[in-house]
Amino acid sequence: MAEASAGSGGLIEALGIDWRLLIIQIIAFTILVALLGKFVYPWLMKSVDERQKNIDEAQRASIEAQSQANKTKLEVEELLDKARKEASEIVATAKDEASEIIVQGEDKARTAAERITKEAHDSLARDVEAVKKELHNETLELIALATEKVVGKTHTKTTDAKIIADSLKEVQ
Amino acid sequence: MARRLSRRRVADYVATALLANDVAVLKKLAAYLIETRQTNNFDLFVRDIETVLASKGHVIGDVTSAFSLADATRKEIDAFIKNQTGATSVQLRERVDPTVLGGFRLRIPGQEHDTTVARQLTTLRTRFKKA
Repeated sequence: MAEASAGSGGLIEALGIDWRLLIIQIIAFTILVALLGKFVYPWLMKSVDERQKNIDEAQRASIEAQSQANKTKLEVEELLDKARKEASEIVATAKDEASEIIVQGEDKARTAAERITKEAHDSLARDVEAVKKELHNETLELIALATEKVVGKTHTKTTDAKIIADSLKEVQ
Repeated sequence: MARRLSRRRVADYVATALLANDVAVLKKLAAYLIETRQTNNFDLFVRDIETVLASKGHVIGDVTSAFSLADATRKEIDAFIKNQTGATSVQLRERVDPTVLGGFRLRIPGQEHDTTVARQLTTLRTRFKKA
């Protein structure tokens, strides 16, 4: 044992360590640790905690922001989908209305064309009828005039007496 | 001033007098018309007198033709009037009007027969004319 301690003492000495200095340094270190534990470590830990807290809050805010962003993105997509649908519906409605307007326009144009054609036919028929009447009346007038001329030249007292006799037989 | 009488009554009086060969009644009629200032109605009086005469069997008719009537035609018209009215005597006033062209127009009280060519042509012009 003595040999061992002599041996260890010898080793420490061989390493150049001074016992007294070592003890002083241990005490100084202990004091330093105590001082640091008393004054520095709490402040440092507090600072670290605050920083950790800030980091956590920032992370949470980031997550929340990310979540909000995702939510907003979804809402935007929904809005875009809705807008696309509405746009499609508007376009479809506009196409339908345009088609309807075209059909109505065609119907109106057809109706107007038919009416104009009918009026033209009616007018033509009236004109033809008027011309026929005029021709008929002029023919009657010509017949009467021709009869007057012929009778005036060919009629004699003898034929007149026969006409009167025939007339008397007819009215009796 | 003479009292105004109804035209019918005057006609009846004059017709009766004429049938009794009282021609002087015509002067009385003329005087009456002048006195009562009815000369403008002379034609109406004559027509009424003829109507009364017709009702008493004496018909006076107006005949218009393009040529003067032959005796045979005149007799036929006379017979026609008697047949139509039942008159015992007929007196015709004849008038020649070339514008009737042919046939005859007979006017007797209450009746008119127009078979002239001019009338028939007028009928042709009017009845068959389209409006």
